[in-house]
Amino acid sequence: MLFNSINFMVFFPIVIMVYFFISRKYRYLWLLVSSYYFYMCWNPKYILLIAASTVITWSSGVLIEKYRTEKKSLCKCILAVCFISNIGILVFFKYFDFILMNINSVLGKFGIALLEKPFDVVLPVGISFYIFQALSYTVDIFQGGGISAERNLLKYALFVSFFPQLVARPIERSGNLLNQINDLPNKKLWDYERIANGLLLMVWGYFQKMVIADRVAVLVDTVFSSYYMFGSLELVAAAIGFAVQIYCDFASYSTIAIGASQVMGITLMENFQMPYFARSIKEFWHRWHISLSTWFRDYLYIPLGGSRCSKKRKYFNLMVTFLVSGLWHGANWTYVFWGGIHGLYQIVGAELAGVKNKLNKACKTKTNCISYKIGQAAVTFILVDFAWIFFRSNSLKDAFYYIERIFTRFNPWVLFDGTIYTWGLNRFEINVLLVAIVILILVDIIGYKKQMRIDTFLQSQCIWFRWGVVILWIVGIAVFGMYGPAYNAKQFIYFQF
Amino acid sequence: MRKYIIKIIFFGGILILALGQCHKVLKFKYEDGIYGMETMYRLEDNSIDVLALGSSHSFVDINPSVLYREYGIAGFDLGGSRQPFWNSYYYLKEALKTQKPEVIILEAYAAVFSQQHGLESEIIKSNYGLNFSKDKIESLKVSTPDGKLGYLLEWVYYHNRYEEIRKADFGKYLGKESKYKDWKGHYCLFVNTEFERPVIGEVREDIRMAEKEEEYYRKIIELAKEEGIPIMVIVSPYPVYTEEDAGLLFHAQKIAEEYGVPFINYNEKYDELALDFSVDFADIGHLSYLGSEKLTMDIGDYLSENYDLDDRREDPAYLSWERNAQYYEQQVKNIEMRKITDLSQYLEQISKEREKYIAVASAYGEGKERKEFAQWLYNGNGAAGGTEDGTWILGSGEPVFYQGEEGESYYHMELEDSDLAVKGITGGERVIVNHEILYFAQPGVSICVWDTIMGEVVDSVWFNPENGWEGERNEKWK
Repeated sequence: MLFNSINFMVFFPIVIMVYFFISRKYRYLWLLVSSYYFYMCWNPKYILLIAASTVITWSSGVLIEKYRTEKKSLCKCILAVCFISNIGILVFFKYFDFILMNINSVLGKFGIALLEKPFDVVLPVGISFYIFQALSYTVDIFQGGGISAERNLLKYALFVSFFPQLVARPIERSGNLLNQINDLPNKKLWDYERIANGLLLMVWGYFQKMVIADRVAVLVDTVFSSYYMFGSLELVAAAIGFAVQIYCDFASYSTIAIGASQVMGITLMENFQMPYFARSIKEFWHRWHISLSTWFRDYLYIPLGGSRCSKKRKYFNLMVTFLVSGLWHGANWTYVFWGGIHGLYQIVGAELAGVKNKLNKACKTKTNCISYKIGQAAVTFILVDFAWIFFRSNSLKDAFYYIERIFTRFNPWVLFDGTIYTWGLNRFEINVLLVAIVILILVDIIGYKKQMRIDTFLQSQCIWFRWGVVILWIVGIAVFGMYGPAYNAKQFIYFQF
Repeated sequence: MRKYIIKIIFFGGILILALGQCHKVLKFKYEDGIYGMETMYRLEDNSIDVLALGSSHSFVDINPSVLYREYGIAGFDLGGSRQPFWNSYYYLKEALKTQKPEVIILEAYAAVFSQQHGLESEIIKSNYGLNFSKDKIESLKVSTPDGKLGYLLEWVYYHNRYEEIRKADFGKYLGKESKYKDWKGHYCLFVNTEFERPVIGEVREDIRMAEKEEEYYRKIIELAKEEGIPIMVIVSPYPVYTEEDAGLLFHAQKIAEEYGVPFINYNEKYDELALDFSVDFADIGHLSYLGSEKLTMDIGDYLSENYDLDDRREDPAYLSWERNAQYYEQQVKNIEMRKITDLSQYLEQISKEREKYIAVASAYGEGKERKEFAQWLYNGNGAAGGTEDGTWILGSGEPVFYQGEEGESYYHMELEDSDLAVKGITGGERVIVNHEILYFAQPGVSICVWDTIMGEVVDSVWFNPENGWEGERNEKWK
């Protein structure tokens, strides 16, 4: 069930109504039933995977806690079994085809008969997210640190499958979400401001998805699907467009999820904080998909040794983390390469930091002024966007040719001869898109400058301004949203991760 | 808590108001389906005497203005483009909720349709005019593939019409009150195309029409009978009539006879209608206004002879039909006026209709006709400056005379919600209505005519001395 589907528009109010009226004791059960139904709307069979992952990680947690102090090695074994089984599920469903393809490509080079695909594997929606969330819980129990195992399987099952963040998260930590689930009976349900803010966030999320992401996707898809027919300007525009699309697409899902949870009195962690205002790649990763970045930091980078080791080892840890992060995003070398580029950016950035500082000193560059900061943000955006080309391309070969054409097919006239209106969006649609992007930038500037979320900012404004903005957003979505029969509903990009 | 409830209600109210306004602007307003039904809802209850149902063949070819003017019959065309019988059935059901016509005319071109469902646009045109009701749901069920009720969410289908928004989407009566306030569903085609007369054999093969069409064809007849309303079935003439069509319509005729319902296939009566294949057809499916007048006269004769219908021409309750007829007649007069190429004849025509027209005329240079024009200004219109070069505005109170000057000089006047401007340029004037330049004054006489009934410019002609003072028009006015 997509957030931007009619089904969800019916499903969500029903869930909320019942949630508000049933006994406090059973709220979590109602949410669990709703969450499982939500997932089964996509494919009922695959609920068994979530259930399996839930049971394995829950029982592992209980056992690890039981033997944590006395039998450390047994706990390690349990953790290993838990990891192997969960990662096994993930690898099988997500990477089976990829592994087979790569084996065949090696076999082919040696002239050995290729392996036939024995069956088709359908990638379960959101599998990477819920498995990572469940695994983080087991590791947290293993590491102790004040987290205790959840004894109630059903509450734990809700932690893994909580519907607002089931398929594209933010990846929550047990310390945050499980505690809130346990605290549901004590939650004050009717809190006007909290509910209003939650709904406001949902509206903003829908605006990002339906007005911006899905509109710019038309342009991006047109160019990327036959990039070999386009020149520099179109390719650059599509690359920038994809940066906007993936940000709005993913951030919108998180925003809707956070808003929907807030309506129910559950606070999810922030997942995006104005990532394109970052002034370095390192900062970008502190702002982009925060729940995943911190997951990799806490459960891969730091266990590998983190930064408290030799420079070489630190760089190695960084590269491994980013390559795995890339692979997590999809079963294709393009994702691995994308991760690698980001790892490389960080290493090169760290290596050149001294040179940069010396240069700034020698040139007496004012580094505290707005122009310098904008310059840094612009360079960071260019680097991030360059990497997005690999993320969006179907193959590495395509990505390299795409980049080659950017530098060899310079065609500035398309800006003036009306060609830009033939890339899938006509003049009117492009104007709508530009206005919507200006709104997005304004919202991000407010978030950046005031260090507050848009719902908090609007709450601090007068009622007429707040209502005016929300009504404009709703009308904007209703009129300019990309939906209806002429529109092929796009899944949120991160569903397949 | 009370404070919050008030807030929610207030916010919801503003939101509904905002979305409601968007709905008004964005919703479909097709004349060939939706707007006809909406107009029908606005009529006084039980005011329609003759209700014509069917596809475009009904609402293009059957002319309620002629029925009213010649026979005093209050007719109404209620159809949709390529409307199948199942939609005509639900249109009839809907109409019968407020109307009790004396006679129903079913135009049966749908008998030749073979598809199970219309295209998306046809489904929309034949359903979106209906008010929400159980019948509308049933109509959509039967209209759409697999009975998809997604079409009930109309907003989803028209929210992205924002690029098509025109003036008509904002105002009442499609932004043209003069035409649509008293409109009776007739979609008149003022163009004509020459066709060969179809040649088909004498023998008619009985070809069964599509099962679903037949089912609803029968249902329409049965519904009329249940309601005790006489129904007649006609097939209006079209120039691409084939042997197969004839067979299908022969089957429709047999069914009508089975129910004892009169059936007239006008494709078998070209001579009786005295159809002229060079001017009476607009396109492959429809009659031109000339053809529609001929067909409607024959239908009117039949109705007068066979049914006891009241003459509504003197009835003040039927003023709306009168105004509709006047509007149509004015359109026809304007068509005739646009055929005139002789200056004196043209001036005579304007004089005859001086109550209805505002004329903007410019005259430059010499010549017999130029003098004739000056004389016309003095005689008939009392306008000064008839022998000078310049521009006159006649018919809107005191005549206005304006001489073009270089620079910023201009004359402006409001014509209802439009703007007329005469601007000076070197050697003459240019006449502009709503940013459209109607003409640059040139040697000879240039005239454009604003029709006060139709609320628009209806002609722009230049009598060119270089061409023997023959009236010349650009494509738009031909």
